[in-house]
Amino acid sequence: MLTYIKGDKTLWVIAIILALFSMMPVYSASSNIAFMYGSGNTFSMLAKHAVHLSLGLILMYAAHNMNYRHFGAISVILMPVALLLLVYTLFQGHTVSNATRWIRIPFLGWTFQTSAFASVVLMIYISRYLAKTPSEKIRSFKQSFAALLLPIFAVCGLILPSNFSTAALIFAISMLVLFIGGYPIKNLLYIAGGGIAALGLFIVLTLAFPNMSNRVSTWKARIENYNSGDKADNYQVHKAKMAIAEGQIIGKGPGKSVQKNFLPQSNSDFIYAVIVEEFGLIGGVLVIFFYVLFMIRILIIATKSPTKFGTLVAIGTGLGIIVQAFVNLGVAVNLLPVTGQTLPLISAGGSSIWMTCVAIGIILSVSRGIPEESDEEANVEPVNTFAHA
Amino acid sequence: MNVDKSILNRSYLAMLPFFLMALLILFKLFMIQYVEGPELRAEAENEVVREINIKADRGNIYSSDGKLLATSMPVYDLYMDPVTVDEEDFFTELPGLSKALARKFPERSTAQWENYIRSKRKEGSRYVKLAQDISYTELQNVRQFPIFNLGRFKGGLIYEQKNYRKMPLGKIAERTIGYDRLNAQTGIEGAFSSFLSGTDGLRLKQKVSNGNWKPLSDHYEIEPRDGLDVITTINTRMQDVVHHELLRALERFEADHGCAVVMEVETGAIRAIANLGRTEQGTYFEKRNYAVWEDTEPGSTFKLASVMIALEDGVADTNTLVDTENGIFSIYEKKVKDSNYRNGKGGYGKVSVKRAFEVSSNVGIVKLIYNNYQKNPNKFIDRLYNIGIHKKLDLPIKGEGTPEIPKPGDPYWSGISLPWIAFGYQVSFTPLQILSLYNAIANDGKMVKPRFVEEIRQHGRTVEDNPVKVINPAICSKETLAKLQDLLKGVVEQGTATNIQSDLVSMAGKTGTCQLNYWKQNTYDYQASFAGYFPADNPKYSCIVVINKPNYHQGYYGSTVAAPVFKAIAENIYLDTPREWQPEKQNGNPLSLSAKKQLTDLSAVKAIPDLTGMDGSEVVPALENLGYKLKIEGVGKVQWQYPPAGSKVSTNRVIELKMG
Repeated sequence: MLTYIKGDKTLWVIAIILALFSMMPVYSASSNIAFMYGSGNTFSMLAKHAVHLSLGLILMYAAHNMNYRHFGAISVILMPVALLLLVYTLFQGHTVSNATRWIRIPFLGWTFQTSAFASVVLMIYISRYLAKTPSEKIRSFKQSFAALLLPIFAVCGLILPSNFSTAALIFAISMLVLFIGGYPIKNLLYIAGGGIAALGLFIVLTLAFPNMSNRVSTWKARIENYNSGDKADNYQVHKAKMAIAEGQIIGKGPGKSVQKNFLPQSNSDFIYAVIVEEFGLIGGVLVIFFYVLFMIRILIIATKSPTKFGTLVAIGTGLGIIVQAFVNLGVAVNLLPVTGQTLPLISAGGSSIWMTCVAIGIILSVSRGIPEESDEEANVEPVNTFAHA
Repeated sequence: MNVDKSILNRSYLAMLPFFLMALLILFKLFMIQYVEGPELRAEAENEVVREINIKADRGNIYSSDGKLLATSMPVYDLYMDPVTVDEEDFFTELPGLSKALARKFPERSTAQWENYIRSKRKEGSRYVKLAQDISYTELQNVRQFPIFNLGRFKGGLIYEQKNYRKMPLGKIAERTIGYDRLNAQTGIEGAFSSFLSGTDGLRLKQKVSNGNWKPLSDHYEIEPRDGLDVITTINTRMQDVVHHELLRALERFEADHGCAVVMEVETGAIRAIANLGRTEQGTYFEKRNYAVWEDTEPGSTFKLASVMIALEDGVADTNTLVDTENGIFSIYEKKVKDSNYRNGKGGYGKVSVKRAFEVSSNVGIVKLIYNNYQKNPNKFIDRLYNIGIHKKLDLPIKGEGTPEIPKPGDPYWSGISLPWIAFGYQVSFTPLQILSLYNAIANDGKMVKPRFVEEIRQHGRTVEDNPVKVINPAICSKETLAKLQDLLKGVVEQGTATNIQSDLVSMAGKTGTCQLNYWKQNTYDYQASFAGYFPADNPKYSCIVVINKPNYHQGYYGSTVAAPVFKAIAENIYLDTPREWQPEKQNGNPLSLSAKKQLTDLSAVKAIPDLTGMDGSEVVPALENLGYKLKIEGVGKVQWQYPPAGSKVSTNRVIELKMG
């Protein structure tokens, strides 16, 4: 069995530990949701989460089994698909939490967050472009515009109306990947300026035509809440803080969270607060530790990857997960305003788990391409099975 | 390494903020935990945990013969939230619901119920009253109604539980059992509230979503302690007899109110206590606890005390002669008259003290006391105080009337005080206080406190006893006692109460006819009373009957109004159940075998036979045993019946009988 599992073992272990651990807080936090909106059957929520995770692990395995070099080509094909899906989502989307971010998969009836999919595709697409394109061409703003910058703006622009934070994060990660990939800092500043200008235009348009999207008012309220710290308006954050305070050092024990009853997104956006309440500071610190470990592993894989594409893909997709994780943790501890980012691998939710798993699978695939001997300095003749194939 | 070193350097640079972010999150985590922690935790506790009062079950009140007199049962008030019901369900099922409601609660017709609920939904009312005080079984029934059967949330049925105090035996001794409400405590319920109510428990509950609360732990923080049971001295059979005999007399004499009390001689246990007051419609109900509360001038029943003192002081003996003259005697221009004074042409002449007592000669008793104590009235008054009747009985039931015996030197004391006290005026006692005095005579001179409660029990185990309390171990000497017992027997044998002589039981007692408001002109308000005990020798029970303001034209003498009640009570109680019928003594014909069979068959065929001519005392129990409710007028043979013979009757039908 283990012979079929290739790639970075530590990353595998981190992913599986987080996935298995997630069962407890999700089961606990779902009780309230099952009681209020469902049939009252908490087990079905657990079973659903288990199915999501199993499917995710299968996707992860499948992704890691592929040669990462093929991802570049695939991303070129999938880029237009992702854009079409985003367009479809924007106009036909299924409403969750007052934001049009989801589409319903025909026949299965599952909801799917297209932005997560588009994010992964975009990261690979950028990495491929940066790795393949001669550096002179990259340095030219004009020459890189159509193939590189247009997709970034298109993806972020299509996500922005329904989900500002995700759009902003994808934009920021794209900038980081561009920066790492050697894109001129001067041009990056232009792009950032362009992004901010686009955002400003969107806000002005929305305020001018309020029927178009109600998101701006939600953002406004969220930022105001964060700044004012007003207890009544900032209900979720305050409950999350109460949950964290209630957890103390060792926590109340699995399933014993009280505040989960009052946290509207207890099994997704605010699951970290429930974790701290039930597993205490110990559990909370361990979760942070695992994400930091995850980050270090990605750096190691990126460092060791023999190709520029591998390095950039690992960093790009990895950053997607890390940024999401730290933003979620930051929201839970009231460091950042409420954004609606889930905690990767832990929060309930099908498409976010699957896309996280696919991203990890891609990173694992990159790690598979690392020559095993490279660890040992003593090895005189490096045998590289993948490089220059 | 095939990858450009600069890419890696930039990667580390790009990742650096995230390490810092992780540190910041950790820092914030500890800040929330340790800096803001205490305040947040206090707030959380405050918000999500609350104390819930767990009501203790109130104890039951039992009769001494083990019957349930008062118990608590849950009743429910019903409301509906018509807004919560789905529009489709509401409009398709409303006719069905209205129909069911109209059947169950006929105060509204089907159409009225429908309009009512429909308009309330339109108004947006979420708390529409449907019914109140319905039982648990009725509630279960209502929950099956259309719409309501959709469940608690979709159906919109709201029910609130209340505890209702029920008296399973009906309104008998209602006033003595009393009630315990927030600002009014009466009777045994009120007096023994501390035992009955128990202590409420406490449970911590935690808030869960949607405004629901769940218990925080498996146990109660404070376990509720259920109330204890109170075993009263009431005997339901005697109570029933006393109640109905009193009621009959009140109805017959159209009296304003009355009371009758039966006390066990040796223990002071109140076996029966009935207090009935008249309503404007002329019916009677347990209006006030007259026996405990109402202190009035007792009249002739108080002559017992006067004679007792005279005998005790040796100023006279029972055969000492007193001159009743022509039945009228003046002191300070006030006249004491005998009932037979006939404008000064009546009276009993010179008679013995015994005779004067038996015929209740006011002149005789007044002269006996006045002549002997007028120089030293204090001696007489002190004697009264020594008996112990000047103090309240200190009953557990609230509102006992205070006895009044004026003393020389009091502002109200006058020259006529002593003679008037001698025949029971200018003093004031409650019926129970007078009964205690008569009970002491029956109890070999030992005066005991009336007891309403036998004991306090918990789950059938005695927790607290209520032993006999002696007020005065000997109210007089044995010799005096024997003489007094003889006098009381004489009243029935050859005195004012010969009309109550009975072959079944011997009785001893004293009549009392007291004019009320005698200081006013032309008043015909009287209080008729009879106090005594039975059997005359080795008495078991003492009893007092006081009837207030009988219709003057129907009769007002203690002997005619109150004494027959006493007799009926004595006969009924003395003849232990099952009562032995002596058909030859009865007015009616003995029940023929065929009639008996007819009555037995009644349950099968449900057709009522011809009952006319049958003896009521036989027909009534026979019908009642079959489960019929009866409405009876008069006594004796059945003269008239409704429904007529041959009618089919179901057991919930009231059968009316007139007898005479």
